[in-house]
Amino acid sequence: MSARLTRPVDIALLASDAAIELDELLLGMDPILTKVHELMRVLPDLVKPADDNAPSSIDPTSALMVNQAFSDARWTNPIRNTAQLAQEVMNLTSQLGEAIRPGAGRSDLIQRLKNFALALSRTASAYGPSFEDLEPVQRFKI
Amino acid sequence: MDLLDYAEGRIDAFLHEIEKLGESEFPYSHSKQALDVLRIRYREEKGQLNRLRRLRNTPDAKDTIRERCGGSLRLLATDPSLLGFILRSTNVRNAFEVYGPLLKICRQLLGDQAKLILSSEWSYIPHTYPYSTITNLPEFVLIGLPAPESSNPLLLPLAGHELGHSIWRHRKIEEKIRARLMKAIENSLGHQEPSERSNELTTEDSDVPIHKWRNAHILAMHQAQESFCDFIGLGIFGAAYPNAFAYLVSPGYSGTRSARYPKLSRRVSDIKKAAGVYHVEIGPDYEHQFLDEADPKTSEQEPNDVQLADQASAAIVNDLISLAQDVVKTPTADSSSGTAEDRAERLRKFVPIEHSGGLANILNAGWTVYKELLHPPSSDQPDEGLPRDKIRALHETILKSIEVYEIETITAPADHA
Repeated sequence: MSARLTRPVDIALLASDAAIELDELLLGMDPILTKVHELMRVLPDLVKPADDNAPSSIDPTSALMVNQAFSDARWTNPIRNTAQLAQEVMNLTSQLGEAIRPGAGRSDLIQRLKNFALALSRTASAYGPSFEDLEPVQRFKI
Repeated sequence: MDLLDYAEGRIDAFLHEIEKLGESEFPYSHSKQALDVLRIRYREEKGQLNRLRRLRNTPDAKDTIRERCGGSLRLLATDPSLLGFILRSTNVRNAFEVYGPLLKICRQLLGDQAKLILSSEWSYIPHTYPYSTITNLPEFVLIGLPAPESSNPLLLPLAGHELGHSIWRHRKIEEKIRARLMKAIENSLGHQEPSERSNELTTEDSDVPIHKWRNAHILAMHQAQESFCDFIGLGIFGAAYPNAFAYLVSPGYSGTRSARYPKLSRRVSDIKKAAGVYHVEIGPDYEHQFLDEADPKTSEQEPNDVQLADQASAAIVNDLISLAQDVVKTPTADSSSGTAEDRAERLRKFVPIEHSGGLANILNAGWTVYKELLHPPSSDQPDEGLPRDKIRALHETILKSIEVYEIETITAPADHA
């Protein structure tokens, strides 16, 4: 995919694919963690302002979506602003990187990370279009 | 859990449909390539579902299975309509002459990797699936024009607007205007007390919780995108764009306007404003062809999301005109060997134009002659209705001119192509 992955509908699919890999890891299946790594790459982008000097250039839907996922997965205390949100995402991706290291033996953490991935999949679906509006078509109308 | 079996059954049925469509005849390769990409993607999807089978008996994986099967269903909410679009793109009703020149413009503006599918659609509203919005076909731009007008090349400039939606994504225009739109909404909202609630997320430069401005921001962003696309259509096709716009849209549908589009009177006045900046001539009475529709019904709460969006998108129109101008600075026309009057004179005689210099030149000459047919300069005879035979002949001559242009492009030495 050449474009940045930011559409909620794509994030939802990526997060649930990552959850599959984490489930396989929990079962000791030794999966290739392609989607987990992709999620680690994409998550910071979702909460990064387009312009570093303008915090309000953040995508409001992505910010609310990730914040809601943290809340639903009971990952952290309530987050007040987008700078804290970005910091929390950095913490999460760092822990994810640590947990999936071969021999890390952190099944408790992997379970929490899987719960976050599933929460993100659900909130991304909820923040995306409703089922009947899912078609990405743009109509020329007035 | 049956849901995994159901999900797999749905994907099997979709793959079967792809196989059947693959037996069609494809007039150009991109429709076929789109099917090939979808086939690969859905085989992968089937692989993911097979992978879930190994988790089926694990109680802790039930949520994962449910969530992923939901994702699979969401893919199917979009993609069957793509198969229909691809199928209709092969119909002989389409004016295949225009495909090559439009693809050329598309690639000049989006890059050589862009792929285009054109179709005549059973909707009177032109529409597009823009570049990088179809999960499984990110490099494809799909543009549909109304089937009843499929033999009318004068409406092709509307494809410029549709292409604008792809440019919007490709050039990340949204990211460039996001902060300005938010600030415009914040200004309209006026002073807000800082939130005391601990679960209301704000940006560091504002006390207004994001959820309070997000809806207006989404509407304003949609409106800004539509205006940007109008400016792209104007920039690529010149006066032929507002003419095609008026043919399709004037005087306006009655009823309530969509909040995702600027009010029609503003849309038209913005096109005129951009025309002034781009040095495109539009008749002085242009806006009189249009009527406004009712605003969407909103609550009594003031200011409401639609008003906020209208104000915010209006505040950045000049920025959008500049952003679109930056894009269409890239020349989409080749050098031509004649003047606009020379080209119109050929069409008046129903003789195809040679060395036209591109689609925009042909279509602008076409509009000049079409308007002359509607209003003969020296006629004092009573209105005898549409000169249908001449209009049909004009359409055919324009299409022939486009074909000539494409042949000239193909046969030109490499450094001129």
